[in-house]
Amino acid sequence: MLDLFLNATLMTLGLALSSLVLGMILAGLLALGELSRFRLLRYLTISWVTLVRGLPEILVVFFIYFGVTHLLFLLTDEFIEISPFTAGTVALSLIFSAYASQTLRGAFMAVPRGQSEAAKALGISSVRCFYRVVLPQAWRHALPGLGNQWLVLLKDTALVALIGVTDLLRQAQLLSSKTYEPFTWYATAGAIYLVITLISQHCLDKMKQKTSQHIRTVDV
Amino acid sequence: MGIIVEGLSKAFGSTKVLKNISFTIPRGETTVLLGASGAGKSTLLRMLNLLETPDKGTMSIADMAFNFNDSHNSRQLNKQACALRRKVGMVFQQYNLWPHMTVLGNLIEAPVVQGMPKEQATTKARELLERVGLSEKADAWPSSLSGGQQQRVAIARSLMLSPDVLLFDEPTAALDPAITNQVVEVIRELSHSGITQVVVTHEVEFARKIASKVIYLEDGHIVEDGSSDHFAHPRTEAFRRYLEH
Repeated sequence: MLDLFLNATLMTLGLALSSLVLGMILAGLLALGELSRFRLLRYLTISWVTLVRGLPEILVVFFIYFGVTHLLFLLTDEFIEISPFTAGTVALSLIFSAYASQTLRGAFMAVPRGQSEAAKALGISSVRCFYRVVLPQAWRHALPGLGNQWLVLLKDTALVALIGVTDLLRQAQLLSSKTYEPFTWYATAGAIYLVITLISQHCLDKMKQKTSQHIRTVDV
Repeated sequence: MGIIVEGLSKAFGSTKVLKNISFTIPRGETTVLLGASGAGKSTLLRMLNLLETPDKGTMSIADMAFNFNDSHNSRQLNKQACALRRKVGMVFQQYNLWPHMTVLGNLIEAPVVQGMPKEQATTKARELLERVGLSEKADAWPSSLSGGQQQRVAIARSLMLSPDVLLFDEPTAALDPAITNQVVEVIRELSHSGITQVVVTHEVEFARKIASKVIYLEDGHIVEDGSSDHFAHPRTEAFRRYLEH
C-alpha cells in the first residue's frame, strides 16, 4: 500500500513540477506578447489567454488528450498515441500559463518606468536591463500570485486522473474500490496534498524573505 | 567643446513642446534651465542624451554630432544613443536607484557591463562615494537612505562612467530645502572638476546657488540666455517677472 501511494505522490509531484516549469516559460512568453509593441502579436496573445481562461480545466485536459490524438489521426492518417502524462503536462501548463501570464504582466507593469530609464541613461542595453533591473523587481511583485497559482496547479493535477494517469487521486480511488474503505484512502490522499501544500508554503515564505531583503524593516 | 544645439523642435502629437531651440554651452559651465512647468525644459534636457528624439534640428554634444533633419534609421540612432549616454550622465528627480542592489551594486553595474574589471570599478565606486560624503554607506540598501543621500548616490552612479556632461532633471524637487544644500555642494564641487553640467529646475534659489549660466524657457521658446549675472540684471521683462515669484 505504502509504495503504491509513494509512487502516486511522485507522479503527482512530477506532473505538477513539469507543468510548472513548462508553464512558467509559456507564461513569460505570453506576458511579453501581451506587452509587445506589435499590435497583431498583442491581439493574438490576448485572444489565446482569453480562450484558455474561458474553458473549464477538464475540457482543456480532454481536448489535449483526445482531441490532439484525433487531430493527428486526421492529419497523418496514422494513429499516434500521446502518453497521458505528456498530455496532462501540456494541458496543465497551458492552463497555468494563461493565469500566470496575467500575474507576470501586472508585475512587469508595477516596476516604475524610471527604473529602466536609469539603466538606459547609463548606456545599458535593453536586454541586460530587462534581466538585471526589471525582472528581479517584477519577481517580487509576482511571487505571491504565482505561489497561489502553483497551489491551484498542484490540485489541478487531480484532473489528470480522468485520462488514466495514476496520480494520488486515482490511486485513492483504485484502493477504495478494492478494499471498500473509501474514507481511509481519500483521507490519506487529502493528507498528502496538504503536506505538499504546507511544504510549498514554507518554501514560498523563504523566497519572499529573500526577494524582500532590500525593503527596510523596522525592528520594534 | 561643449554643447551646441541648433533649431531643435519636438511635438507630442499636436502639442509643440519645443519650437526651434538654439543655444551653446561652453565646456565646464554649469547651466541652469529655468521655466514654469510645461515650458519644455525637461523635454529639452532629455533630448541631450536622446531619451527623447527631436523631430528637427542638429545637436553636437560630447564630441558627437547628430542631425535630425534627415530621415534617420532608428536602429542606427539607437546604437549612437547608447554610445552617447556613456559620455552624458543623467540624474533624475526620483533618483531611480535600483532598490534590489546595494549602493555599491548600483554604482558598479554599468561600468562592469561595459567591460571595466570589477575590482577597478569597486575602487572607483568607493572613491566617488567618499567624494559625495557617503563612504560608509557602500553596503547599504537604497531604501535605508534618506532622500538627500539617495540623490547623492545617484550622482555618484552617473559619475562612474566619467561622463563629459552631466544632466540633472529637477534633482531637488523631491527634497526638502535643508537637504537641497547637500546637492548644491556636490554640484559646486563637480563644477571645479571641469565637467559640463546642465540642471533643470524651477527653484530660483537653488538655481542662483549653482548657475554659471542660465537659460530661461517659456512655452517652448528660449526667452533669456546668458551668464549668471542675468539673475541680478534680467534683460527681459518675462524673466524679471519669473524671478519675482
